[in-house]
Amino acid sequence: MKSKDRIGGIVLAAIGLIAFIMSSGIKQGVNLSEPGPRLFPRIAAVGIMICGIIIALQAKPEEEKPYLDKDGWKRLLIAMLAMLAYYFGLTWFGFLLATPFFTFAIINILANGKKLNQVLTVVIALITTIGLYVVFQKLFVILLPAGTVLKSLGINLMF
Amino acid sequence: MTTFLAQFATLFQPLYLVVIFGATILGIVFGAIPGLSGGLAVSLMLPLTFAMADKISFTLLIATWVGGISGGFIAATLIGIPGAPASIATCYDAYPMSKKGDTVHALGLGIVASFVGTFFSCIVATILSPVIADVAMKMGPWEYFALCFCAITLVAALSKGSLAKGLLGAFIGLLLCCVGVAPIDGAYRYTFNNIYMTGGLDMVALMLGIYAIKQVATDYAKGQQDMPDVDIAGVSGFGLTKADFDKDNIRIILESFGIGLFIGFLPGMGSGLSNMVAYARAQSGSPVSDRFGKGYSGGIWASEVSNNASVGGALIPMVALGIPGDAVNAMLLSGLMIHGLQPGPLLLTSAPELVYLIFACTLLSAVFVLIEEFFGMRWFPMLLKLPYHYLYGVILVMCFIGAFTSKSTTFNVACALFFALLGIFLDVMKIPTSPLILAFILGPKLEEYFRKGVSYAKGDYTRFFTRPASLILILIGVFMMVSPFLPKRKKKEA
Repeated sequence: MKSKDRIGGIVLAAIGLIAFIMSSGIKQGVNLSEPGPRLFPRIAAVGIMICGIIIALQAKPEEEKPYLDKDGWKRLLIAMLAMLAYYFGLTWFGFLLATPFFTFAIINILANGKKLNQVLTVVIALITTIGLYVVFQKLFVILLPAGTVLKSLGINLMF
Repeated sequence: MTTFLAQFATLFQPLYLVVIFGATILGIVFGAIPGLSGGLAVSLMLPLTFAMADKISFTLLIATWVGGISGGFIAATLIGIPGAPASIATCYDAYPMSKKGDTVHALGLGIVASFVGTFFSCIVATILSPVIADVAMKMGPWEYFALCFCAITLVAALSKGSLAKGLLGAFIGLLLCCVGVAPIDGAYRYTFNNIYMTGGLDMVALMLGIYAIKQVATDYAKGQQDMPDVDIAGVSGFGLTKADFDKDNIRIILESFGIGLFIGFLPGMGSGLSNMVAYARAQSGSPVSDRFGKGYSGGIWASEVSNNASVGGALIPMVALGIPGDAVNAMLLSGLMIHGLQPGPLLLTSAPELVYLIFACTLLSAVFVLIEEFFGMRWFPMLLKLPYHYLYGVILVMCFIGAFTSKSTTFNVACALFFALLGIFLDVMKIPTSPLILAFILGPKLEEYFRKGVSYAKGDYTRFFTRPASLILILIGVFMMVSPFLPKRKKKEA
């Protein structure tokens, strides 16, 4: 099994290379008395490439203690998918609809099989939603997502 | 001095007192719970400050920060797990003392030591910052570039892990900050014709993603351990005795204070390192060094005074030079930028009231933390029993909303998610995030000063090496990068 440093180093070196190639597309003025806007992206890209290669070359061949076990990766994937769902929920259905469902779901996910008092979970989900709504939307007058789907249907829940 | 004292009049207004009271408690809670941190609390509070006036914003952020640094010792004392890296050395003596049944004594020492460190280091910072800012006013773009370069390389070189990984973190941060409009000429870079990316990637989304969201996701993936039960019934007083202030302990307090202040001042180090250095120094210089690690009060003094003294130490470069000492300072600095303020030596002249409010608030927060921890001691074990799933669930929602409100677009939420994934990738690769964050914050300045420096010198690059201060700072930065490759001198055999 190849070490994660070797794979990660190569991936990063490739990203550095892509960033370097893309830096040629940055518009640069002529007859500049200074290095222009391409220099720093190129320094960063070359730096990433070199460090990535060094890390890949220095990678130890022996198997290291894994970052997460198989179940751990599964849990991580579930958590990230739940967050992705919340992102789409916020975008399409807005804060007031998406947040209580997400809070309820994520608390149950994070409990990791522990038996929860579901009434308490619902109460916490509602308090979180209402609390944040009042603080941001009402107290600080910072608008929260209204939801594109709801907007297109002419529904405004963010009163 | 008058400006400084006048800030206390502001801070003694009921609203400010309530904010300090609440924020310090929040900081203590986040600092106390292993896995959470004061930095995470600051990142969650940052979006709340968008609609606030600058003074109340900074009161909230500073009080949260001070509470978070202090709260770390609680778990270290009660269960032997440091709430934050700043309290690792606290475990060595506070936990054994607690296990011997002297919990109140151990907690009392931690509380007083935290106060001593924060309070007096802040006084030093208040006196020194204007002096350093005056010196900094004489600097040109060459020195500023060298200073930013030195700060980034110091952080990269001193980060945990290999130098290549530290530098890689810095280069990733530099590349991320290149996204959007370039300084000076406004050229578009890596925007992919996306209107949301022309303004650059958002600092708040970066902080929330790489710190908070990543932390929650990986903690869940690794599986949370239930904390053991701790009973500290019958608490009264601090439990401190005369022996806690004997000659050896006074020496330890003074030395640890100096170590914490100095290490806090240097970019990239801070409380995570100072507690270890101060502990090692305290033990090596003590006539009763064999008592260290077995519940000796000197060990707690050393760790807690030094890590809290780093607060004042870190305030000096942040206020006087606009250079953050660590990731949490970078968040505070981004708070200044969000409110349209330009961190740097001119801040003391352009917004002296705000600068002195930061110092005054740190002092007052230290007093609040002392009082709250004294009266709240009996409830400390309950902090460790807070159910993670509820806490983390609410934190996640706050992260998403924080990312949204920062730019009023769900694109920023997607960015926060991307940064969380990046944070997980860096964690897997053991690439430190502090150099990334520092490079992301200082990158635009680094570029601007470099390009201005070359432009002012009419294309002459040697100006960076012919000005003494610039040369020294560049040499320090280069030395930090090459030092791991220098041959080490063998220790003489006794």
